[in-house]
Parts: sequence; C-alpha cells; structure tokens
Amino acid sequence: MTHWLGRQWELLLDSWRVSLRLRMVTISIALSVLAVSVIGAYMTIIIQGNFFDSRRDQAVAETQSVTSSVQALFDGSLDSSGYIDVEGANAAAQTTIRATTASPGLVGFAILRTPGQSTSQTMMSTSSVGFPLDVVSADMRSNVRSDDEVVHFQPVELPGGSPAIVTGARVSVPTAGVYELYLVYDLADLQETLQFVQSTLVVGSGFFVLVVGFIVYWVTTRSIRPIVTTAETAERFAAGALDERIEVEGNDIVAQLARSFNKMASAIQQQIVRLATLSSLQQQFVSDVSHELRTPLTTITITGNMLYERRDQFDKDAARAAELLHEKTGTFEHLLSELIELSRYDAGAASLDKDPVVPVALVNEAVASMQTLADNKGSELRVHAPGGHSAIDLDSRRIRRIVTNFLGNAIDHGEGKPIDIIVDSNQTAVSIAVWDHGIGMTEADLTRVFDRFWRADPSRQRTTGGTGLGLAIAKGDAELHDGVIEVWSEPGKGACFRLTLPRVGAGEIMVPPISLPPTLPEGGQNA
Amino acid sequence: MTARILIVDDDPAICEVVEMVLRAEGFSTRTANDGLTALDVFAEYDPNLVLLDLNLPGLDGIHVCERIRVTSGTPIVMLTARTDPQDIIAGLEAGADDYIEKPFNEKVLVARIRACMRRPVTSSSPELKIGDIVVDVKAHVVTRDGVQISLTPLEFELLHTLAAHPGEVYSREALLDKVWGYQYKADTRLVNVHVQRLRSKVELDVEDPKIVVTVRGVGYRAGEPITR
Repeated sequence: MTHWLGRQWELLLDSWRVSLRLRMVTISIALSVLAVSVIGAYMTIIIQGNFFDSRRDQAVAETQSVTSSVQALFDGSLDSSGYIDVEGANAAAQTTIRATTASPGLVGFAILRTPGQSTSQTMMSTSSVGFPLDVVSADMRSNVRSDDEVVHFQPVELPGGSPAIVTGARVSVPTAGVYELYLVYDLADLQETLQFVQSTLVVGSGFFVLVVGFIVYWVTTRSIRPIVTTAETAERFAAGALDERIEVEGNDIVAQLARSFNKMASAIQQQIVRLATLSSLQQQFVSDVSHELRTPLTTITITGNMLYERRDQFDKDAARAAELLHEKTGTFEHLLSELIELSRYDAGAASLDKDPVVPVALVNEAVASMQTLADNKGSELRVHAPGGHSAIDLDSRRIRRIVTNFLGNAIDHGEGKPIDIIVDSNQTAVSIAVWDHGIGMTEADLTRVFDRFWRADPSRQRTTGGTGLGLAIAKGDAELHDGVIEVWSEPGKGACFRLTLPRVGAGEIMVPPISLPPTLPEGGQNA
Repeated sequence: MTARILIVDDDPAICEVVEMVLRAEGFSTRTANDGLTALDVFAEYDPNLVLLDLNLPGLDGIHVCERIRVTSGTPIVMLTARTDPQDIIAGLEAGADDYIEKPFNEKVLVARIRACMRRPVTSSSPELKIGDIVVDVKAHVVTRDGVQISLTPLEFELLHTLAAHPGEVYSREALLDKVWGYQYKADTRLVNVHVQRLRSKVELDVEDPKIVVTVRGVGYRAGEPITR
C-alpha cells in the first residue's frame, strides 16, 4: 500500500517536473486560494462587526428609552402621602417594558434590586419568564450600579449556545431604592445571516478559484504552444532535418523567437553544408587519386616482377635496382590499399561483413600467421585464453587485421622478449590484448599512437613493413564494430593494446574483461 | 589448342603487360581499349575467357558484360580499380564470374584465369534432380517440365555441385573451393551474388527459394527433389 502510494507520489513528482502547465495552474490556484481566504476572512470580520454594532446600538437605544419610560413610571407612581405601591408599579413597569420594546430577538428582561441597601419599602426583583439570569455577570452588574447615566452592554452566550447581548441600566424607585433593569437580546438570527454570508463567500470564492485555474490553464496552453513548437522543431533539427523551420505568425515576442530560431537554423545549415561539401570534395579527391594510381601501379608491379624474375641476367647494379623496385612496389601497394581503406572510413563507406566467429580461433590463426616474424626476432608468442571460446558476430577480416597489427607492433618493439596474447570475455564484452615487454612508450607517444603516419621511433628498423597507418585503420575497424582500442604503456615496461568488442547490441556499456595492464592468468599455453 | 583470352582495358600499357604475361603462360590473346571494340573483337575472336576492365570509354564494362551475357556464357573476369562493394556487386550482377582488384600481380592473375577455365565437372550420374528441375550433366542442360533454362557455365557448375550431393550443406568457402576452384580465402560475396543470379533463373518464386535453399549461418544446399 505504502509502496503504491510511493509510486503515485513519484509519478506526481515526475509530471510536476515535466509539465510547465501543471506547475502554473497549481501555483495560481494556490495563490488565489490564499488571496480569497484572506479577503473572505476580512469581509467576515467587517460584516460581523457591522452587524453586531448596529444590533448593539439598536439594543442600547431601546434600553435607553425603556429605562426612561420605566423611570418616569416609577416617579409618577408616588402618591401624595409619599408612598408607592411597589408591586403595582412593578407590574406597570413590566407592561411598559413589553409595550416599548420592539427590537427582534428580545429574550426577556429583569428588574433586579441592587443588593446591600435598606429602604422603607422593598420591591421584589422580577424577571420575565425564561430570563437567563446566569448571563448577567457580576462585572456587568457592578458596572451598571456604578453609573447612573449610561446604558451598559455585554456580549454573552445564551444557555442554548447562541450569541446574545445583554444591556443594563439603573433605575431608582422612590422609597424602594436602586434597581437595575436588564434586557437580553438573542443574536441567533444575526449568526444565521452571518453564516449565510460566509457560505455564499465560500461558494463564490471556490468558483472564482476554479475560474482562475481554467484561465491560467488556457493562457499557459496558448502561450507555451510556440515554445512547444520551437522545442519540437529544434529536436528535429538536431536529429538532422536541417530544412526544419518554424512558421512565423504576427510580430510579437513569440514571432521574434521563431524568427531568431529560423535565422540560427539557416546559419547552421549553411555552415554544415559548406563543411560537408568541402569534406566530401576532399574525400572524393583522395579516393579518386588512390583509384587512379591503381591501374599504372598494376603495370609497374607486373613489369617490376618481370625484371625481378630475370635479375640474374643483369649486371650487379641493374639487378640491385630490380630488387629495390620489387621491394618498394610492394610497400607502395600496401600503402595505397591502406590509404583507400582510410578514405572509406572518412567517407563512411566502410561496411561490415559479419559472421559468427570464435575469437580464440581467430587469434590463434593470426598468431600462426605472425609466427615466422616473431621467431626471426626471437619473441615467444604466448596465448592465454580464459574466455572468448564462444562465437560472436564479427567481420573476421577486419578483426584479424587488428590483431595482426597489434602483433606486428609488438614484434617490432618487443626487443625479442616474450609477447603475451590474452583473450577473455564476460557478459558484455570480449577483449583481445597483446602485451609486449619491450621498450614501451612515453606519455607523449601514447597521445599520438593512433595518428596517421606516426611512428614510435623512426630510427628503429622495422620488420613488418609498417606504413604508419596500421593503428589508424585498426581504430576504424574497431569503431565499425562499436568496439574500442585502448593502450597502456610505460617506458621500459612494454606496451599493451587492448581491443574490446561488445557481445550484445551497440550502445551497451562494455566492461572490458581484461584489465590494463593485464594480470596474466595461470597456465598460459604456447601457440 | 591454346586458350584464347580477350583483354579489355582502356590503358594500353596494362593491356600490353598482361598480354606479355599470358603469352608467356601459353595463352593466345587479343586486346581492346574500349567497349564497342571489345564487343566486335569478342564476336570475331570467340575467346575462352574475357578480362574486362569496368572503366571503359564509350560503352562501360557493366554494359559490355551484359551484352556478352545475352549470347554467351563465356567466363568473364572483371579487372577493377574501384573496390567499393557496390561496384563489385554491380559487376557480378551484370554477369561477371569473378573479379580481380587492381593492383594485382601476374601470379594471382594467372591462378584466377586457370581456376576459371578448368571448372571441375565431377559427374556422378548422368541426370540429377533438384526441386522440380532436372540437370542433364552430360548435355550441360537444365530443364523444368521439359523447358530448357539457359545458364552460364558457372551457374551450371554451381547448381550441379549442389545437386550432386543432395542434403549436404555447402558453406560459401566450400563453394568457392569446389565451383571457383579457389584454395585460398577469397571474397564470399562472389557466392552470394551468383546464387542470387542463379535463383532468378531457376526459382519460381525468388522470395521463397525451393531449388537453392539458404541454411542460415552455414551456407546453401539443394532443394528436395519433387516429382510431378
């Protein structure tokens, strides 16, 4: 359950991050809810105050007039002998009170004798039926007692829970002393009105918030549409559709954005087309030159071979010339075919001819083909193959060329020391590493080792007739397979070239099964 | 009787040097430097093999190859300075039996020519059935329902090799060895292209081959004989 909730939360977070519209709508709804709440609260307070004030004023005024009437009544009921029929006056006062009060919500009244006085006569405290005596607090009573002039009031709560106001004033009854007149007004109707106003406010505000939400949704949708269009166009442009442009409408900031985008796109397109044309012209030239050389080279090769075959019929110098011609024609041929191969990579025209091949078998073949060269240099070729025994799809010609190139370099620079060839594989990749223990290379050499026509040490004698293009071609072959070639070397410790090929689809992250420099597995076999 | 070879190349020097090599090997040769001349010489000379450069003035090599194939199954070996796969495949599809990339040396040239001309005819039985077609080994004729299908010698040899061992799967390398006579690693695209050409002639539905069946990852085998 919590897991499910967690996922929902994740989803929500995602859409929050992704959707500008969702964010805009949510933020504007939150802000308008806040604003509406503040305004609503303010209005409620003001209205409540106003209502209360007017009812209070009404009650106070009424109490004032009731008090004057009652006071007048008491004053007038004094007979000639200076006495007063207190109970009669009381009853008359009650009648007067009932007659004079007209305000809504009058709960009742009470005429209470102020305690602590001794008078010749005593009028009984009276109150109308159901008058809530408890709501008249002691504070209120002492306030009323202390002040002759003013009508006092106090907001209270009736036993039933509804709000009310109690008003009080002092009257004096001749011969019977001081009495206090209290009136209680129920404000339940006021409360109801207020609640009605509040609910109207809430409904109105809710509606307002919804409308704001919709407006913001609509406005955002409208205003992000050009941005969405721009983003989509930019995506397609980046994906290579260089002719993509945005349709420009109007003259506003959005149209300005579209125009700027289009201008930028045109500029980039021009640059790309210009560079592409230049580069393809150059590649075409290299390719044409390489091919144009092939027909005359065929003639030179064959005639050179004819001369070479008959060199023993020539004098010493001519024989040597035939030999040199023969040898260098071979180098020339080799160089030309490598140049053509490179021009194919540059033109993106190289294609793979894949078959299932067992890497170890391929390595053994390559090792066997280089055995004679290695023997001449005195280098022992040691093959270690903990892995790579199951077939993978690869272009065997190209991969064999890479391995042969590694071996040739190792033999050239291995100073006659043994050369370790390691084949291993794991879930993601197959690696082939060739490690010589010869002179090694410096840091500076390592950065240039894949450069065309770069040679480690020009003064060294080469046995494999290297053209300086071998590793550049090897790199191209590896890249065609979505593989990589890495190199490790330290001066005096030899050099190790490692080819890593993916076992699965391209784009997978490969973990090379052989480390650099490699740790040699136990029990290596000799090839 | 000496074998006659027609050499077609727009570069007279290479024609001359190839002539020198081939004559030394005991072949008789003629040369042509452009496509139209090549066709004329072909008609007049009736060579046993044509060495054909693809890059020719006038009529180019592909067209020359197609024109020759209309009337003749004479082995054609392309000489090509362009080594892009599509150029080679275009040449093979036009009907060339094999190709040699320039620059080549004389030993490779002679070896290929000899391989092309001594296609083995290892006939086991006079008549072989493959799918619904009949291969008459002696008469070098292939028929379906009595109707003759015209094949070049190379195509006939390819079909014959497969039909001679029904059920056996031949790898492309094995076919190169048996049909082309190559003992060394050559280009297996040769086999692919010629199988396609053969299929276009002998299959009823090229999309669903019943005569020359592909065995994925291995090679090809003959289809089961069908009696109708």
